[in-house]
Amino acid sequence: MPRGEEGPGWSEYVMPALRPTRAMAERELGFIVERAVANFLREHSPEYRRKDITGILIEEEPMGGGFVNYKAKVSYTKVVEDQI
Amino acid sequence: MSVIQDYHLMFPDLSSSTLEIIRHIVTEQGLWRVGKEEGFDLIRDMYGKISSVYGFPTPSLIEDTYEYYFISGERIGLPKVSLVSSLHEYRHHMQKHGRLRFSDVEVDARGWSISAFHYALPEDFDSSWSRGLIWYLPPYPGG
Repeated sequence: MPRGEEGPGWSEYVMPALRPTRAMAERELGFIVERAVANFLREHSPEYRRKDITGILIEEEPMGGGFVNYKAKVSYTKVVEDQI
Repeated sequence: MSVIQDYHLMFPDLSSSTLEIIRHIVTEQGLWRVGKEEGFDLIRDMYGKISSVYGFPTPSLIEDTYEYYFISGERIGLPKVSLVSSLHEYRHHMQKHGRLRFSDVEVDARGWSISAFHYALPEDFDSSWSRGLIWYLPPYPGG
């Protein structure tokens, strides 16, 4: 999974074409999210853990021929309490 | 890396209609007192109302393991009822439809959601900040 950019409290990952169409990808959204989380943990554990992930922004990147890649921006901070 | 800053002051000109909708869901509809299912319904209702203010389509909301916004599908996932988190993900929806003040979309979403809470419900905001219930803010002054 290629590494994307890094910003204030987020890391970006590019996930090559998981599914050939958006409709199929939407059905597999949980799978896309889990791949992003796994990539984040591989990079940031043990300093940051699963509970420290505060949000994920997922966007498509058309690759032609109906295929799409996915970019997932994973936000994180040291989470002590749930957010109100 | 995690950057904290005064996100609550970044959108002082936030729409008064949006602030009123937020006040309503908390003080009159009891967002923080109702059960999870009803809380999700209230957030869906809030999304519909705020979308009317800005003329955007209303995003869908589902309960899921993580907080996320799926841009192409206009779908928001939340693991629990949270006012600030629901507003944060909604701001990503606004960004899709052309609203972006700060170039970093995460900074922009934190600024909008935390400012909205601050200006809509200043006392609740202050109390929540002092108890560490808002992510990414600096330590509470004097706390």
